[in-house]
Amino acid sequence: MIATAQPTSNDDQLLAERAGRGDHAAFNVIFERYKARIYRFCLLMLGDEAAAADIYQEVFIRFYRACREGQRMYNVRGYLVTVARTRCVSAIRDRKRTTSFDEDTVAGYEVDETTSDTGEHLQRALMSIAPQYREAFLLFEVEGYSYEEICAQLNVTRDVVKNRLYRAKQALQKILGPLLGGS
Amino acid sequence: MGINEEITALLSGDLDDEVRIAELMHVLAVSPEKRNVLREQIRMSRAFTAMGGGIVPPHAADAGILAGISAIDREMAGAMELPADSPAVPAPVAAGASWPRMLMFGAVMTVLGLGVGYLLRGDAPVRHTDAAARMERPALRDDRQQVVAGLRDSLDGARRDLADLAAEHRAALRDLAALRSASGRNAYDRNGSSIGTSSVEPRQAIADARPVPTMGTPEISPVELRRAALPVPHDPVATSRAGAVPLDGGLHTDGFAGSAAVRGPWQVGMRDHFRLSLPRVYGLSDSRSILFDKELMVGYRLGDGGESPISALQIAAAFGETQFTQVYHSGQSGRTPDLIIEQSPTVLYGRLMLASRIFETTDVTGRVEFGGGATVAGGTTLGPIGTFGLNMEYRPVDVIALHLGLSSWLLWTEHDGQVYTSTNLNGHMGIALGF
Repeated sequence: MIATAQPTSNDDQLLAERAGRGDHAAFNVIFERYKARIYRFCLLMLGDEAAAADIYQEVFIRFYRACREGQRMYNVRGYLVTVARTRCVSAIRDRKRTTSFDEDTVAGYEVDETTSDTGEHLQRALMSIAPQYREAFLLFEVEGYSYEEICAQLNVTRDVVKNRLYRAKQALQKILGPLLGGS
Repeated sequence: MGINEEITALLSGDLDDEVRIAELMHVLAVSPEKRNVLREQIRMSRAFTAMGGGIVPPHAADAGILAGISAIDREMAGAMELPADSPAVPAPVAAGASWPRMLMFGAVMTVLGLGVGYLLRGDAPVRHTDAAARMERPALRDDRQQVVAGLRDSLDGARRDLADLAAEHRAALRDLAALRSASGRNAYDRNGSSIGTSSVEPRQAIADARPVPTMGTPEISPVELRRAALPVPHDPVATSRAGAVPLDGGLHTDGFAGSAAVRGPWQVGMRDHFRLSLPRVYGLSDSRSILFDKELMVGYRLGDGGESPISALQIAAAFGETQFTQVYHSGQSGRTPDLIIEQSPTVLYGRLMLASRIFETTDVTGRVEFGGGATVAGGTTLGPIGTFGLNMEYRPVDVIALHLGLSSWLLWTEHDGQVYTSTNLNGHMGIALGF
């Protein structure tokens, strides 16, 4: 196993400062580093490629504009995820999808075992659970955030994060049971 | 916590109680159902991780981003129009302007504050105070001279009294001698009988003689002899505490009579503001919760420094740098319905303040004043600000003041036709020199 150096917050901060001076190369480093994460988060939160692409573009364009306007970026990853999350929450709230943001309901999605696209099943299962559970699950399982990082990102306590994560997994297990080879 | 929750916590790395882990392992060992739950959660985690790894952003979106940042570059460089095919740029966000403009704005506010103070300085109340000081200071000197003269008079009188008493003493001694001589000749009459009267008279004469005063005698002292005739020295302490116009024209009102120190109306100082911005925005603002700002302040006391708050009214101009957290929404018609903008720009500010003393105490070494103040005119490049606060000022000596206080700051900004407010809660400490 080859150990690779993880980008540090200090690296990102320096790159952001250079991007603020119009250095496109520095911006591209940050962009390449986080673009997959941001787009994936937007897509799995919204379940709509077009809407995810819109927000994905807005996040990085806003980030670049903020850098050019002199705003200090002490936590680039946090900034990008915060803007993405905020926009996704707004989009979900305004679109008024199957569940409102604050309701604890699970839509009646059932796995169609005739379809072999596992990814599609997973995405639809995600869209079937409440958004607050979805985002906690995505941040933990897909993006690899720690409990503390999720607490800071969502501005909630650790117990709330644990509870949302547990409820998300319970709901997904219920939906994806047949696909996962459950009992 | 149920077994399923413990399984989730175990897989999340959140179960660190060895006893609970051991119990969970036992349950998993004996229960096929719980083992199946564990397997499902592991498979689900792997499936989502694999799914996430396969999601890549479309190239068209990447191209749109690159075009967008180019448009921002052109906009920054003062371009006329954006390309027609460039992605929609989000609504402009109010942020800090360039350094020269911010510096000029702050300097203008400071000069404005100083100018207002200078104009107010030319008005009657200040002149009146100065004139009163000029008139009152000679009175102080006259009273002191009067007291000294009174003491001299007392000493002179005492000397005269002493001389008189000495003369009387000598006269008494002569009388006594004469009486003794007389009693000695008349001790016996022609019949040979003693003359009782003559034997008594000398003693009575002595008894009638005044006691001989000596310096340092507790019963009579030279100064006390003319005490009734001494003028009552003017007590500046009593006068000031009685609420009359202080002898120094109001420039020194702490009751420390005789002090030559006179506090001037001007004050220059620096403060450290330890600030908490609201609301907290994770990922945008500084990771520290309380930040420090520096502020330079120039103040001028408008009143005569008397007892009332009006007399202690002070105007001040301050200039510094701070940071406000801003969270507001921007709407874009036709596409995304809402945009939440979060930022924490650093801005320079200038403000003009009015402050006054509420009460003071001299029960400690030095003087402690408690007061309050507010900003009557203040601004940043993002918009106007208002502040309100309480302050404690400690003066170990007249020319040095140490400050400690709390204040609330409010910034108004307009974005997309809507006015937003940002709040800072500040504590401050500082030092100022008076002259």
